[in-house]
Parts: sequence; structure tokens; C-alpha cells
Amino acid sequence: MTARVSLLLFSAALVATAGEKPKLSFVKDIVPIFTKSGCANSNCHGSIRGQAGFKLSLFGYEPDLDYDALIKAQDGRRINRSDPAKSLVLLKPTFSVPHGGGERFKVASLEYDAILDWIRDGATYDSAGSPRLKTLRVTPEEITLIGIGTKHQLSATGTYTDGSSEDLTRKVQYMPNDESVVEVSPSGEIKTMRAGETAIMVRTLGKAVAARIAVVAQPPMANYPDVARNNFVDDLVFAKLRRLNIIPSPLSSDYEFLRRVYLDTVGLLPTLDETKEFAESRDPGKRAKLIDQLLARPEFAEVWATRFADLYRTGLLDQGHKGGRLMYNWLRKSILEDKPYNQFAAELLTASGQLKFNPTANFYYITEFSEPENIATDISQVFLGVRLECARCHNHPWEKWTQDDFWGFAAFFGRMGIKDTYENDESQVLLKVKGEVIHPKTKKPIGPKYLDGPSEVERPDEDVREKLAAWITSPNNPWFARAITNRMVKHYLGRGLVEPVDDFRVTNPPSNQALLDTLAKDFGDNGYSLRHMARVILNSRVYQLTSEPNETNRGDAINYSRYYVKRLMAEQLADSVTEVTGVPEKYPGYMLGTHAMEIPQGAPSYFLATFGRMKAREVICERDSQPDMVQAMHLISGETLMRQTTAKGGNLDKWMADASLTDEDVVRKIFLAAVVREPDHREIETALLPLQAKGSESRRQAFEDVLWTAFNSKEFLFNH
Amino acid sequence: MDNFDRRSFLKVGSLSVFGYLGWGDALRLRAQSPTPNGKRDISIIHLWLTGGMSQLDTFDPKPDADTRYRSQFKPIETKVSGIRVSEQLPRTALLANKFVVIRSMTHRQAAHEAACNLILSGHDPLPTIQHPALQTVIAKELGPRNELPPVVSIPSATGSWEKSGFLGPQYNPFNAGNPNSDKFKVRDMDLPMGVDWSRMDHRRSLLSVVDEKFRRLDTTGITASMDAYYQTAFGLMHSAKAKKAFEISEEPDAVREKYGRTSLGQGALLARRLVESGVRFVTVSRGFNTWDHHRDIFPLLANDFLPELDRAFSSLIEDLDQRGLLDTTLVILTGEFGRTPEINAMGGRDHWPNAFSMALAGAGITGGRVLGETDEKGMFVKDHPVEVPDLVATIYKKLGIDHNKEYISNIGRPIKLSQGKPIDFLLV
Repeated sequence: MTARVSLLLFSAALVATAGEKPKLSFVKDIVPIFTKSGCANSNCHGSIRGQAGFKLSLFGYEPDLDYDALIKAQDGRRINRSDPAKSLVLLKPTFSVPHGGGERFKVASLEYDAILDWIRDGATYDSAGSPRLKTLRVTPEEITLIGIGTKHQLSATGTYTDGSSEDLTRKVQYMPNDESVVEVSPSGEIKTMRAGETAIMVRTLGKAVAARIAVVAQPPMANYPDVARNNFVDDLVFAKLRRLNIIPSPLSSDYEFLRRVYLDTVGLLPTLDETKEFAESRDPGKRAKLIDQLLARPEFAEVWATRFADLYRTGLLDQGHKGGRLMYNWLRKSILEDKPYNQFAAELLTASGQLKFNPTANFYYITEFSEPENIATDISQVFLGVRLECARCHNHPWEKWTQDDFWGFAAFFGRMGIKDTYENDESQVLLKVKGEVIHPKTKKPIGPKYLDGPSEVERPDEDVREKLAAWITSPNNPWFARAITNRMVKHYLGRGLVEPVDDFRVTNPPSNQALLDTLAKDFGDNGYSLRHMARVILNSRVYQLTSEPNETNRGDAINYSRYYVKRLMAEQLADSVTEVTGVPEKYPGYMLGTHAMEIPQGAPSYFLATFGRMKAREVICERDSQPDMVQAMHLISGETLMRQTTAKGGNLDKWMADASLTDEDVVRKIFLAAVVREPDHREIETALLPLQAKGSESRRQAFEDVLWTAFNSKEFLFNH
Repeated sequence: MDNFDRRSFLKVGSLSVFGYLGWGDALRLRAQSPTPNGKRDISIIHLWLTGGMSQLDTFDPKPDADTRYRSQFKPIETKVSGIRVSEQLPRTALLANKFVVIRSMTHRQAAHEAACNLILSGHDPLPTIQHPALQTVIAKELGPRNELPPVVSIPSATGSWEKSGFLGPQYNPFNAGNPNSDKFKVRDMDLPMGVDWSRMDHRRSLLSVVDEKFRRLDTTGITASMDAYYQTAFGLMHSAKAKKAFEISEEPDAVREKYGRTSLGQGALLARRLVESGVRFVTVSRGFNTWDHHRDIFPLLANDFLPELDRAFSSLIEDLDQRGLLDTTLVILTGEFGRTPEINAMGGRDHWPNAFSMALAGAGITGGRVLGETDEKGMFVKDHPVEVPDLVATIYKKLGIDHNKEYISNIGRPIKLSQGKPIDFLLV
């Protein structure tokens, strides 16, 4: 991408020739000053309550309110018409009188002169029908800059509702998401500070766009190695890595790949036999074959049913509620059958009826789904990866969402109702005959309206949710396929292309737009098959890279230059432990040996609860994957591992009784089973130390110690 | 992924493993030395009456109100002339010179969850931001004092409002369990049965050998943070004295009876033990929403809730005072809001955030005073309204934490610890 240095640093209005100054527009010329100077930020006068009695709309999205605040509020004391230079709106920001926000601009600056001229001209509001800013564009939208201290000019252009356009380079506010990567001057000049990536938000008049900047310290490497590629995922990831002078880590070893792909796809460790077979196979296509085998296993559906159950918050249903199980079974069956995801989503979106006969109806029954606005925020977040919450109370400052968008979207669910009965699975999700959603500002009913789209008419004899489902799952919907793609990428590659995974916004661009777009398109082209997308990702070399960093990619955490280590889910952890020991767990209400991944909802053991099995979905519907001290204590001395390591009749007893196995062989078995690798010399030596003591009790204890260590090791607690 | 403050863990690590800073030393340090800025090193015990305590039946009696509003309980005189409380709080009344009452607490959150969020964080809840509870901010800012976790909830955190929100879970309170149960024991604090320290040491040395390989893969520092948790956990498990802090059974029966054999009573007693041993913040509750008396409020309060509270609160203050700990311990008694002056059809009172009462003792606050006043029905605040952010700012100030400090929240928006201003009344 080449740089285009903008020469149009000044907007037409501000450099008009003397004598024939055009009249300044409040909206176009004055409001942007408050945004640019930081006055309309959320931590200043742009906050919901304003600051020191003066409230501006956040980043100038409501100029008419800003006008009232300046002219009318507090008897108009902010404007001095008889002596414009004595206006408070000039004295405060120039710090000529005390101002909590300090100096924002200087006397006789462009900003100062513009406000002064506007007051002298009568401090009027724009005439009715005068043009409003329609779109804002920044160029370049994406660029890689080489070297530290390198400068580059951004430019911003606005298009107005009358079709005219204007260079807004000097008028917009620039704000890098990460100020340690680049600095940006008020006139839009970037200066690179360190190697890394950041988006720069560009804002004015309630509009925001982002420029994505990558900074590379050195010119492109001359001896960049050739990296083998398996599919388009690799093409797109490696192209970006090359631009960034990052060399991907080498391919993972068979052991490494095996453990990883088992945990990610079926939530379990490979058995010793499976490990042996794979390690000994000479088939060059064995990885692809294994992937196909794993994707066909029922546990593949259980892992995704668990992920979706989290997302749909089935955990909110009590342990004994049958709805959670019905829902889980429906999810598992749908995934097992590879039901196209667009159909899957449409069935959920239009669900109703008695819970016990309509598993999908639980989707609306769960949680506080009684209010249309709660349904709206959940559905946009879950299916579109779009957070509308902010727009419930005020127009979203960083996005285009207005309160009209929010309440119009909520109006699709105006007729949703629940008939609760004592027998919980006989409860019913239904469409009421009538129901409307009241816009909190106008206090009037508002009809259904698509996000960033037209209004919809709801006929009394139809379920308008069907139209909504068609809109959401349409191939033209910009978010639907991308949102699930992003969640898939997060599950397998450890990080979403957009993070947080459900926060798609212009000002939060994906780390690799082309990859997101191409994967999402491929998903749609292949019948919205989740299994197909999983297969594409798992077969990529990117997925199969080793997790060990090299010198060039150690600092990378967003471009998939190696496999990112991630903590196991509670279910993966619990099921892995029982697999290694061969000692089944008994969860209350479930048959002995039931996998944790098969449990539809809730946390039926202390272990599962402690390691993050969710009882209730938080606002951000992602599990907490951070460690804590309670987990450490439970791993060190909790009953779960104590029972699992000391119970008789499991694998350990089998191995110990096998006369053909030496003590060292038993240690090898434990390592291979738990961390899927051979122990090294030092590990064997340390593990065998206590065996120098005599007695069968101490022999067993020594192996229990090895089991305990394996389960407490980071290699076991993480997928890597 | 990992916004862990490594320094604070090095500190713990060095105390628990290398430093061998004796228990007695730690206690002496805590009792005597002021913090670097010259402030007393304050601990906090929060008697957390979630559900909402009725102000009219406790600390703000209105005997002259119409029968539609009036409490069935008569006011009684206290140790301080001019301050009257409900007859259901006789022990508390005798200690009125030790605590202050704020009768003019006010906010606008009438739902439990929202009000709990507000009162523990000092921020009105927002859908997109999970504000950290003040105890977790304290844990982050000040760290642990010794092998004990800095923040403990008894029996357990009542909800996400008691947790660290966007700060990450490492500051979450440590749940102690219910000390009023016969078999009370903190979970997983002892070595597993049949494993002694020499065996555990062997396990640890094998673990450190095995973990070497993983360390190479970790670029996020999560290994270090997990190691720190292990170190802290081992420190706690290894320190007989730290574990002893949880051994409520060591208290003489007379003391246990005095506090009352109730959740709140034994919880308050355990809280005293913990604070005495170095815990910074202890929350004691009867469980979430237990004080939500929408029906039969008078029999419930008279037969159960108020006797429990009266014993627990008065015994705690007396005990702390006698041990010389009241000066360095702030005791806060409050729910998330008050209850409606009007008695409803079911003989209960509903949610009322517009005016409610709170009692505070210790930490240098001169007792025997009342702040604020409500109208004749106890419905609205007449003077000196106190907002929650101001209260929270005051608490931070007492602990030497700058309440103007900003954290970057989970959505990238900077959030001040508190938007409020410290309340002068509580600083003297």
C-alpha cells in the first residue's frame, strides 16, 4: 500500500480569503472543534452527566443538543453576544479563566477564531435542511510503516447529505487504540513509536472510522524462508506475517499435534493405543485422515453443544430443569447431523411452543428473555457479534447504532411472551396477540427495524421473527457468517480475529480482515457447514504450527504465527483426568462414567465449578479462563485428584500388575497418557527417586506422585 | 490474557517461602507501623445485609409516623443522649458512643443486583462494564499482608458484585465457607490424606522439572502467575498460623456464644480472627438476598434477623475495641438499600433506595454521632444526603488509596476508582 500525503490540511471554510468569509456552520465547523479538542470525550463534557454543569453530546453526535447547551442552558451565559471574545466558551478552553479541563486551545488558534467568528455572526444554528455529515472516510485505511520514527499523513474526508464532500483532515479527532505504537498529531500525522499494530480511531460529528496501522522496525527480510502452505488460511496468514517480518514457528511434532487436535475436536486425550498407532504410521496424509475421523465422532458434537450451551446460557436453568437437557440434545443432534448453521440459527430465532416438545423454545425461555430489549441485545451479540447495549440508553458513541436502531431491533420481539407453569418443561414460549415496544425518548411505540437497514411492517397474522431470521441468516448479512467464523477461529486457534469475539465494530477491526472475509465466504459457499469450517482450519498449517515461539514471533499475539497456548475447559480437564487414570467419575444424577462434556447444564461438581463451568452467563458470554488460587488449592490437595490418583482398579494398578513393565515403563505410560510425550531422562530419574525405598505401598505412592505431578503440570492444564 | 501484577506476588512469594517473616512480626508490623504515607493500615469488616435492611425498624425509628408506616418496634435511648434506635437492638444501643449512623444514604437503584453493584463498587452499573468491588480494588492496590489472602468472603461471595470484574479474577475474594456449621473447614487447605510435606516436596520438585518444558512456550506470563498461585497456596497450607486464623473452634465457647451461634455471629467472629491475622477485607453475610423482607417483616426481624445482627455487631465492636483493633478496623453495617416506609399488604416492606441507614465504627471515626436526617416518615432525605460514590471515596481515602486513580475498563474506557468526594464527617 502506498502512502498518499494529503496537501489539503485546511478545510475550505477555515482558509477562506479575507473579506469574503463564508458564514460558518455550527454543525460543520463548530461542533467538530469540541470533539477534536477533547471537550466532548466521555470522561469530560461528553459524559452522560456532563461536567461542571456543561453537557455536550458524546463526540458531537447530536449537534442540536450541543447548540442548546451552548446557547440556552444556564441563561446562555456561555455566549456573550455583546462582547464575543468574553464568551465563556472561549475563556474556558483557552484557560483565560479557571477551567477544570485546562487549556484546550490557544487564543487566536484556528479553533478560537472559528468560534469567535461564529459568535460574531450571530451564533446561529444551521438552517433547517442544511446538510449533515453522512459518511466519514480515512485514507489509508490500512498501512504497514517501516522503521521507528517514520512519519505518515492520514487524511479524512466527509461526505454530506447533499452529496458534497469536504477534507476534514484538520477537523477530526485522532485517537490510537494503542498509543505506544504510534503517535498522531492533531493534523493527522502519524509517527511510529515501536513495532506493533494499532487502529487509529478517527471521529467527528458522531461518526467514527478506523485506520489500521502496522509498524515494522526493519525493512523486509531478504532471506525470508519459504513456508509450506496447506490451504487458503495459510496463504492469508503467512502473507501478513511476511509483511510484518515475522517467521512462523515450524510444524508441530506428531505428539504435539495429536494431543492438541484431540482436545480441540473431541475434548479428550488420545488413548495410548491411538497415540501409538498415529506415531508409528508412515502415511504422509495421516493428519488429514485423523482430522476426518475426529470430526465424525460424536464427541465433536458434544464439544460444540457445550460451547453453544454456554453462549445460549442454558447454564442458567437449574440443574434439575429438563429444558437444559432438551436444548443440549437438540444442539448435539444438530451438530452431529451437520445441520446448516443458517437453518440452525433460523430454528432458534423463530422458536416457540411448549418447552418439552420444542427444545429450541428454551432459547427464549432461558434467563430474563421476557423483555424485548433483553432479547434484542442477546440476539445481536450471539448471532451477529454486535453489542447493542450502549444504544439502549444513548446513541452508541463509537458505532453507528442509535437508540432508534436499538429499539427498532427490539420491536421484532414485541410479542414474545412466556407462560410459566409449575412443571417447568410444560412452560410455553408464545407469541402474544399484541405487544409493542415503546421508544424511551419519544414515549411512542416503535415498529421493527433492521440494524443499519429499513423498517419492517408486521402484519397481525404473521410472526415477524421469520422475516428477521431471513435477514440475519441472509448471505448478504455482513455479520452473521463472520460472527460464527470468529468464534470457530477462537476455539481452534486460541484467539478470535476480532476480540472480544462478540464485539464487531468499525473501531475494533479484525487482525486479518482478508482471513475473516474468506473463511466466512467459504463457510457460506459450503452450505454453512460448521464441520467444513473446522476441517479447513484444522488442516491448515497455521493450526498445526508448534507453539514454541522463535525470535521473530515471540511478541506476536494476534497473527497466528504459532499455536497459542490456551487453558483447557473445565470439561476437557475433568475428562482428561479420568481418561488417564481409568477411574470413572460419578456426577450426581448421571450414570457412572458420564463425561463432563456430556452434561447439559450447570456444574454438578466442585471441580467443574472451580474450573469455569458456567452457572450463569456474564455480560460477555465467554468463560473466565484465568487461573485462581482456589483452583491451585483444589489441584494440590482437593478430593478430586486425591480420589483419581488413589482409587484402586484403574490404569495405574493395571500397569503396576503388568510384569512386562518396569517402573520406568510405568512412568513412561503416565507421561504418554497425560501429556502425550515421552519423559526425559531427568524426569524419569526424579520420578523414580522414592522407589529406592522398599515396600509395595511406597511403590504405588511413587506413581501416585507422578500422576499428581502430571495433572498439576502446565503441559496438562493447557492445550499447546 | 494476563494482567497480573507480578510484583505483588513476588512479595507474597518472598514472605511465604523465603522470607520467613514470622507471624508475630507480621502482626506487630501491621499493628504499629503506619503505611508509607503516614496513614493507619486499616482493615475492613463488612456486615453485608443483602436484600436490604429496613432503616425504620433499626437505626432510623419514626415513632410518630402514621400506622401505615410505623414500626412495631419502639425506639430506645442509647448510650448517647439524643440518638435512639430500635428496641430490637439493645446491645447495639449500649455501644452508641462507638459508632456513627448515616441516616441519609440515598441512591436510585431499586433492583438488588444493580444496587449491590453500586454499593460495593461506588458505580452505577453499566451493561458493558463489570466494575470491580472495592475490596478487590483494595487487594489490587495494597496486596496481601502475609500468607493469608487479602480479601475473604464469609461464607462466600454473594454475587459478581463482590468480585473483581474487569480487573481479572486474581483479586476475587477467597470464600471461607460457613463458620456456623459444625464441620466448618476451609476447603483444600490441608495436604491430601496420606501425603506429608516430604512427599509434597518431592511432588513439587518433580513438578518444577516437568514444567521447565512448558515455560519455553509461554509468552504471556501466565506460567509465572500460576506459579505464584501455587506458591501462595503452599504458603497458606504450610503456615500453621495462617490456617489457624480460620480455626474458629479455638475460640472459647463463651466468646462464640456472645457473638451468637448464627451465620452472621460466627461470621463476624471469624472476620475478627482473620483481620487480626492480616486479612484486609472480610465480608460477612447470611447469603444473598436474605434480608429481603417483602412479607411478615416484623416477626422475621424480631425473632431472627435483629437479634442475630444485634449480637454480632455489638460483640464485634466490643471485641475489636478490647483487643485494641478497633482503631485500625473499619466495621461497616449496611445492605444495598433500605425498605419502603409504607407497610405493604403482606406485612412487609419493599425496596427503598431513596433513603436508608448505615452504621460505621472504628478506623478513627469518632462515635456517638449521626449524619443526615430523613423526613417524618423516613421516606426522603431532609438534609446531608450521602451518595454511595462519596462513601466509597471515603473508604479509599482511609486506606490511603487515591480514589481519583483511573483504571482502563474492559471496553477500553477509563474509569475512576470513585467519582465521589470523601465525606468529612467520616474522616474525624
